[in-house]
Amino acid sequence: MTDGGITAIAADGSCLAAVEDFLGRAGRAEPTLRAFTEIRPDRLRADAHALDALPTPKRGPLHGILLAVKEVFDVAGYVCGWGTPIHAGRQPSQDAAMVAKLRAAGALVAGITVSTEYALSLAGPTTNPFDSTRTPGASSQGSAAAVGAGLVPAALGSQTIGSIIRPAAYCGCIGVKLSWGAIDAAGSMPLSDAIDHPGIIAADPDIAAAILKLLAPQLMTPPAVKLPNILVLEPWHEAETAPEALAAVERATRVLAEAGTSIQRMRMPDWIATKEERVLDTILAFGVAKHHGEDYVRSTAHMSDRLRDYVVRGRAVSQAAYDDAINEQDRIRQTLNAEIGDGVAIMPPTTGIAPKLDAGTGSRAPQRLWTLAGLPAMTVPFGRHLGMPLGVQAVARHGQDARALAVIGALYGKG
Amino acid sequence: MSNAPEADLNTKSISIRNIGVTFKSEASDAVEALCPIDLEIPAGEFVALVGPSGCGKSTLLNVLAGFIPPSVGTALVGDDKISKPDIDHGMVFQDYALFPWLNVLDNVAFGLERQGVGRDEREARALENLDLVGLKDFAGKRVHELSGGMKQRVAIARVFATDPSIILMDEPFGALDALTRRFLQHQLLAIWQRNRKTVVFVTHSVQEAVYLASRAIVMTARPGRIKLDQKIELAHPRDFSAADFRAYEKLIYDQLDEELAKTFNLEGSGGTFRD
Repeated sequence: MTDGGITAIAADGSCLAAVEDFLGRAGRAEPTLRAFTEIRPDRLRADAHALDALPTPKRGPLHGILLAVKEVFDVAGYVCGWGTPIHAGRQPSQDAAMVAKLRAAGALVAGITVSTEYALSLAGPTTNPFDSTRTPGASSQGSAAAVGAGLVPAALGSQTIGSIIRPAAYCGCIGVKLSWGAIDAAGSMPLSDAIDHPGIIAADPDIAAAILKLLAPQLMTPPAVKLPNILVLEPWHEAETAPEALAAVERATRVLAEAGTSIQRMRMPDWIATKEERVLDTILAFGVAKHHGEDYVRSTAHMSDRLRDYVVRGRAVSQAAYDDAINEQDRIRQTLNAEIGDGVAIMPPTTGIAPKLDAGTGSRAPQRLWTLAGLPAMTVPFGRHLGMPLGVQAVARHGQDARALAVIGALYGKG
Repeated sequence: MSNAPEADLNTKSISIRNIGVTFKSEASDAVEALCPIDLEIPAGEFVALVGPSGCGKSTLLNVLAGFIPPSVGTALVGDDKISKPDIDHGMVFQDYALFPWLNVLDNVAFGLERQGVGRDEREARALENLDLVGLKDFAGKRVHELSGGMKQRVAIARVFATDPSIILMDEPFGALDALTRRFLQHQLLAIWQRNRKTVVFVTHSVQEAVYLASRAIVMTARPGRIKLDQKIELAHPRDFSAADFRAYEKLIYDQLDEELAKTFNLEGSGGTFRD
């Protein structure tokens, strides 16, 4: 990657040609993939034309990069419906902060991608780009499928349990959830202020780095050492991890060892393993009731049972119980920050390859704790099993996002 | 703090006497939107109407605004029977309903012109009310230059400028983001505490009802009837997280949930769940 930015535009250098190419490929892929809720060719062509008219010195670092945007982020003039019929016609008049920043840098909004219901419940129609009988994961399913299918080099996603890392891993993408609070979330659908993480899904580390540098420049200073020490973390959660997912991490460990890093084993403290799920659930339910309880009153009939359940349980959480959960969250964060220190923990991002569509959207267990703790977590594609992508997840302590990104970069293309 | 309005303020009581609304069409059977209800709202009270969609909240508001005639019953503002729209009954809609061809100041002054107020006083009163909602500096702007929250502030200023005796608000903050909404709730309360207009406020947010209102009314699923009529006896400013605030919320939710259950989708919601 050069400092001047990245080039992902067509061979003749025009954004318009890149857009036409995208429209052609999306037209062929979408009947099966169903990653997008809305693509607007005329607007996309007009935006590309405007970019092409810019003289070279005025072109931004993301000039002509096609960006897919999950429907939980506002994009002016598009329908951003939060994955629920209750907001099916929702058309914001302003771009979300993230979207505005990336567009100002030259990114083109390729279209709006499918989210599950409120990024939390009912799955959308999207299929996995590697096997259309399998799930793309959730909830940023359209964004991950669009990048995994090669339609766009990057997409915006959001994670409140496992919604970036899981679909990114299932679809063979890089997925990045930065330290909690690193990205301005203005203009995105809230679930819980304490655990919502906007983030990105990207085709390769250079695109990811270029975007992250714009979204969170304060975190992107390269680490002093080329590669941090690696802590190999045994799965601690209730969900069983498939042998091929563990084998991918072992292979990644060897790649990193050969690159000269020190390797240690890390074990999750029992008290964290026992309570993380419950603490997150309390915080999340409280937030869902707060932010979407009104939709429950307005349109109960159009909500899934599961979402109703979140609202009803969340309403019953007292302020004291919520404050307790936030205190527990803080204790977990501090403990994990200390355990990981200046190293980077690696583990499987998922319990295995993407399940068949009728078996759900996969387990949230390997992603959940990092959302609760607010630590930077990223996944990189690493090998295959039955033709489906596997990945490796890298986690650093809060604020040390660049360390995890360095590990992702070191593993990319080596699986 | 006394709830009684000062003597010189224009604020009136509302009497709803056996008001019922049935919609008839040639295509289908008559639909009863509102069961005959009785409700006495003293001058200066802030009433929140909460209920499932289609329960008749907006229908009741439209009767009070004079937009639709009741099928049975009588509604009075003060001693006067409501029979047609009246500028003395201010209305704020969810979608702002501003005139796009007028600038902000003229939107706020519009009703004053119809009341026969002279130009200078019109402008002075429009500016004074724009100041109340923090938009004095935007008087010359066109409507399309404003954000949704700013448009709603203009709509509120417009209603208060005409000094109506009652104010009807149909889910005015429903389309706004959380921060803007909090800010406008705060401003609305501040203006209400000064002017003590009688306010009828439709909302789907129980929290908003408990935060703003001196009295909350829960309506049943269609056809709408009054299920709960609850005074909210908390001093302003109210604290969302306080135990007594949450207790009022729970009281309302308990009644509301029974009604919401009746509107559940009978086919249920299948599919695969996950975040």
